[in-house]
Amino acid sequence: MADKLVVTFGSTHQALKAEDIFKELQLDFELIPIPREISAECGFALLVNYNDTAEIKKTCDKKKIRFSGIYEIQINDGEKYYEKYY
Amino acid sequence: MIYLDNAATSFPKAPGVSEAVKDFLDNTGANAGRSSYSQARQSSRIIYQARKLLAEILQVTDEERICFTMNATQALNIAIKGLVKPGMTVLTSGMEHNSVMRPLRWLESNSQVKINQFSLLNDAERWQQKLAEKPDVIIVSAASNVNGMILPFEEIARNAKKYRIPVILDAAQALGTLPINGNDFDIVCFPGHKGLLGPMGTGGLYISPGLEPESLFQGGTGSRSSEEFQPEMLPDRMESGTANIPGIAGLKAALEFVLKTGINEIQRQKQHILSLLIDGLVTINEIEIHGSLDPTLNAGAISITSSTMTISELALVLDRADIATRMGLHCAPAAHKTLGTFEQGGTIRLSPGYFTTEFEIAETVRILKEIHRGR
Repeated sequence: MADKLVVTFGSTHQALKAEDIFKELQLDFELIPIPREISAECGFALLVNYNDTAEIKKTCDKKKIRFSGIYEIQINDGEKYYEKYY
Repeated sequence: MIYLDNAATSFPKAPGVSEAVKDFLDNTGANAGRSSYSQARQSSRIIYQARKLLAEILQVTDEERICFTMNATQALNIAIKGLVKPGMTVLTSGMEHNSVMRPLRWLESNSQVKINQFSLLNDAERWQQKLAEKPDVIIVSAASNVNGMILPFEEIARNAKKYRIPVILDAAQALGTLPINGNDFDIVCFPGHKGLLGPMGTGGLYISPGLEPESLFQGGTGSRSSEEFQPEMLPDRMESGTANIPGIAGLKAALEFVLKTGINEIQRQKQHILSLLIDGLVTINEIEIHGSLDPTLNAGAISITSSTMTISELALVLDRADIATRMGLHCAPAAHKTLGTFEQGGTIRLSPGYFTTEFEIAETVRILKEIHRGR
């Protein structure tokens, strides 16, 4: 299980909506430029310091946040990669 | 100056609008939706929050189906050209502005679209009958820009639903003044600078779920930048190119004012001012009012002519008295034909706004009386 997740969005509007809701839920996160390795839709993503991918998905669904992907940041042989879960 | 040209654009703007525009230009300034540094994020957030406030005013939950445009005309062009396809029949009212009529006439000339108009004054031409003929699309104004007449837009939309005919609402003279529930229409087009009291160069449209009109033009959106094809999702599909973010910052301040004041309160105040204006005008025998004398049926404009002066003579003396009105056809030849005021070149339109005072109305009536007494 990874410590960090990246949530991506189709539009800026959805990214900012997620930012509002994650703030309300007091999640530890930041708005980041979309990682190069992830095929970009909206130019931003949320980097969340949280390890429960399923829980984040549930939160997004419940709050009607339309994300385009949830990725776990994994390290393999010292190399960082993004594994898509949803 | 007594400003009675709010149907063209509101003046003054809501408190806080100019400060918000200046603050954006001086302190934020960055483009939105393209980068994640702090000022760019602030720009994106201004647009995001303005969109949320518009959703509140339109009573809709799907904020991202509200797209920003430069004005209501651009919104109407997206709506009309997005929904009306070659060979279709469109039903519209006889009170429409050229922002509806010109795109329609363009489609009529270029893609065999048929235009059918209903009259609100002639029983034989009623909308109920015309609607039963099942047009493909209905386009109707919420209120006339010529004489403020509130059209039966809600009733038309309810009936159109029975036949599953999509309805485009032109809310140019109504949003911010009349309560409008976006869920009752397929597309609602609106300006940001009239009843919503924001800056010029702002407007938008709400597109109901399930409807996917094409974009009128394509370009950069900051999203799906790897693709050379226009993104499908809203609002990005309709919002190519850099937005008028200073304007939207001002609009956001205006929307906060409108919501804080309450649309019912704005409507009540405008009706009060209209009733004073009507009461004053009816005491001047030479003046004819082209429209209802009931302020509750009016969204904010009165059209008048004089039996002793041409409209240009009247406009000139009003200009000299520093009363701002609009003379002529008001970009609405169709409406003036319906009202019978087309041949004489139109009317003088007096359109007070939320900030018009009782004193200003009394002065206007006094000056109009004086002008006529002197002849």
